[in-house]
Amino acid sequence: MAYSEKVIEHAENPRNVGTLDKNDPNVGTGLVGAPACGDVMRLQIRVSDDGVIQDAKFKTFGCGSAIASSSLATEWIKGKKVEEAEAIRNVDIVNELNLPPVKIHCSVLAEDAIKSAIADYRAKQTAKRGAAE
Amino acid sequence: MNDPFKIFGVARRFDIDLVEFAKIHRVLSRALHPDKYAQAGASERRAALEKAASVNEAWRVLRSPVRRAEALFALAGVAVGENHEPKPGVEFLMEMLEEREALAEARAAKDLAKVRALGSAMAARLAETEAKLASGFAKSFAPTGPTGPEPAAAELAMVVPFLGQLRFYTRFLDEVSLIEEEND
Amino acid sequence: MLLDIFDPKAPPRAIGIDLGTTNSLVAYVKNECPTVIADCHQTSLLPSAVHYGDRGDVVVGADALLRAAAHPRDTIVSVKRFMGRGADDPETRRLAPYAFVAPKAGDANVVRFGVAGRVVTPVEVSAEILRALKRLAEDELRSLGGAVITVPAYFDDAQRQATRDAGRLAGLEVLRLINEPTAAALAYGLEKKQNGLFAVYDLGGGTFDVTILVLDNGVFQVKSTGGDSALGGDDMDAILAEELFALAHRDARAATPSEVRVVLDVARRVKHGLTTAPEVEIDNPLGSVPATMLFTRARFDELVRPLLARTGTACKRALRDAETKAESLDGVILVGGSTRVPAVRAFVEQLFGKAPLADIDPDQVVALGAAIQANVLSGAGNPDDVLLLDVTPLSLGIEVGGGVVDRVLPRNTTTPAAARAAYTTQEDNQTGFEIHVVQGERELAADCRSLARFTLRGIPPMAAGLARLEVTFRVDADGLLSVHAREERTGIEQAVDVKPSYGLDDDTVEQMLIDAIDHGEADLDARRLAEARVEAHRIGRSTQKSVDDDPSLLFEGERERIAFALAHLEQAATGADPRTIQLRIDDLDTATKSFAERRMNRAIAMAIEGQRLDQVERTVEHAKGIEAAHGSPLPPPAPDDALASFANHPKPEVER
Repeated sequence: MAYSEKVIEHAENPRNVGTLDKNDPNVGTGLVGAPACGDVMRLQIRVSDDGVIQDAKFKTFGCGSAIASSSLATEWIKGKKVEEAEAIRNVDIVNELNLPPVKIHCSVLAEDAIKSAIADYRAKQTAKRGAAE
Repeated sequence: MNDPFKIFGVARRFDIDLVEFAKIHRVLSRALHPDKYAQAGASERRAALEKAASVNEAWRVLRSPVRRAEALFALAGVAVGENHEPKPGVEFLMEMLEEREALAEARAAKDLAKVRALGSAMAARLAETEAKLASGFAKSFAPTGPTGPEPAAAELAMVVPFLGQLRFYTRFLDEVSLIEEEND
Repeated sequence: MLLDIFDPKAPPRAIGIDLGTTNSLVAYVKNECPTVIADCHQTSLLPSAVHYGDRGDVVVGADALLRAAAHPRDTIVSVKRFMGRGADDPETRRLAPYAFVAPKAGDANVVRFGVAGRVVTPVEVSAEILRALKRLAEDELRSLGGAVITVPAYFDDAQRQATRDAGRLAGLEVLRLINEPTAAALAYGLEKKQNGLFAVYDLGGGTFDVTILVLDNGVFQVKSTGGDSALGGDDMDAILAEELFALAHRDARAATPSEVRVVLDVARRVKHGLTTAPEVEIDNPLGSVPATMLFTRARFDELVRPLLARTGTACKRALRDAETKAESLDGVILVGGSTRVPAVRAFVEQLFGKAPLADIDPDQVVALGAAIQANVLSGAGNPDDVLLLDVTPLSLGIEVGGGVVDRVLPRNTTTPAAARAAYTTQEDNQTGFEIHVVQGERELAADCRSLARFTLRGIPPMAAGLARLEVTFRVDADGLLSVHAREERTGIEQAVDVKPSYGLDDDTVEQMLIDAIDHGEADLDARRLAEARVEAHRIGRSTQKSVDDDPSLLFEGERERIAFALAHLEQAATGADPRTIQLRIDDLDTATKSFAERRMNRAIAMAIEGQRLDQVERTVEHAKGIEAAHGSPLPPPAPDDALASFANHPKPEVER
């Protein structure tokens, strides 16, 4: 499928748009923005006790490619282990969506959002263990 | 790049008087527009066309706060743009996301008053950031300022995040006018 | 036959042409007053209709219209709607009686009409209209000195190119294409001498434009423009025609070309009738039941409401693009015959919240403005009186990987304009870079208008991402685009020798020019020679003037080099070879290149200096200093004979 079709498909029917409770200790929230274009993206994951991403939601204010990148990212990470999700690279998104060079920064934003959500989740887990001890 | 300030014959600064600059643009256009050289030789016609285009290009850069700031950074040797600017802080992004969400809600509810209110609040923040950029640039470009020959760029780099903010605010305001357009 | 006659009673005059969808006009400046030229019947509106006869004869205007009912396929009306459009454009599927001909493989992708056993393109049809106007003007003025042709502001690049090609084909020296609303503002502005912010609402036969502009002491600066190049009075006629078919219980799609033509004509008459009367009763032109039909203005207003709503959307966007509001406008100017429709006036008044100005005939105002501009450009008027600063109506961009548009020049950029964008190769050892130029506001190239494609070749093999391709867009004062690409590391360059997506390439237009000779056109070589001579003398005079005006800007030896090139040009101009003249013009061009550059830089410096003084003047009362600084320019040196001869040279003319 050409770039346009896939991106339009994701941009017009984005998957997993929404919010998870950010105070839930099993929820990690990633918040990223691109200063060069003014896009802002929030990506959230809910992780089960055995480290599997049960649910992922996002909210993106930006161009079609940014929405498509984050929509695809949430689709991919659902059901994956946190470590597997962490291994996703922006080039994977570029290849899947056939993103043109001028839109590569959108995929970078999505990769950063996944990482940032995982980092937030881990920080919460560490805090929880610290509190339990 | 061509220095748009040089083309306009003015000193580099961020806070410019747009009315005054519009006048300079008109004066330069009067002097250079190809219409004035319609009867001239090919070399003059071509030279006029090129100069007139560069005057218009300079004006396009100068009249937009984002492009003006980008030009000033570039002229001072500070790299900006994709991959060159610091990532914005979480607190700022949270705020932007909340503002955008509020705007999306007002749009869905067709609450034009709310859309406009959000727009003017954002315009006020934009003006504040412009003021910060202005004073940042003023320090670096001041002819008698405290900066030596080199530190200008380093000092100016501290101002770069304001350019990012300016783009976020501008994006928001573009969105506001789009909503106004669809509700006309 | 060419004669170098200088007739002081009839100097060449530049003309302004409104090449309209329904009617066309030609005007010129007579004793400082723009005037339309009327034919022997005192009619100035030439219907934009062209009839092709069986014996190869071509009839233009009212006589062509008379033949339309009997020969609907061979009589093209509203050809403007097809300018610069592809053979499969939706415009070809509207209600119309034509026989469209699909292009053969390898032919340019343009609309083609099958008429009386031949195939013609919209450019050729338009050229016939322009020829008729040219003849009209020649009868009045004897000798023409170039033409300004107006185009809808919202015309894209292909439509503008097509108009320019038509002018060239008609044997006109096209001085400039200007936008119709801007031309109208020019006519109003000069008459009223009022500064301020204005909107021009221009609803013609087939196109709609809205332009927001500032008028400041002779500078007409367009802030924004918008519109629809396929929306006008024709569409009102078509809606009424559909209604008429429905009332007659007939399927419009199944009607014969003659019936379609007749019904469209009746519909137009109904529209005109409803301009003054609340209702119009007609006999059923299809001869079926009912025998008569009644059309009321109320029903008509209801039918055209969706069309007006479309103009409203464009107006609001134009206001927003201009960063202004309807309340801030000092006036609204109505242009175009369709603004006579009462529903249109009421709509405009409500939209902008003020009664529109229509005191200059909306059918004539565009041609009058074009005449004023033609007068200025031909050197007859004072260029300091008037300056038009127009904008690009649509964004221009390049398709980058995957069909996305990278916008290089946004819409409403002041022209002339230039902008650059940098790209790189996506694959290792990629030696060619394809560039697809598009125009429009959408994010995907497929949704924009394709202007041209070309490939920058000969990039030496290197790793992906290493090549630096700089693409430069230039839009000239006609609003025409040229594209230039360059690989920065190797310096490989390519000006776009474009294959236009929806236009004729230069060779095709050239061939049409040659073909025109067979159709009674004057000898092409004689025409070329005459044109080359006019150009040689114009350039000679102006170069001489520049040298006289700015002797201080000449470098050592430069004056001699220019004098040498001038003398050679003058000599070539007395000869009979247009190619030699062109070569000498090029030589003079080379000899004056850096001098021209210096003159331009000085013009900038002086303008800025003047502006600064102007500021000083406003704050400090210091008359003496200002006088000194403004000082008169250096007196010109005594002209040396070789250089001076051009200045007094008689203007060459073509004998009619």
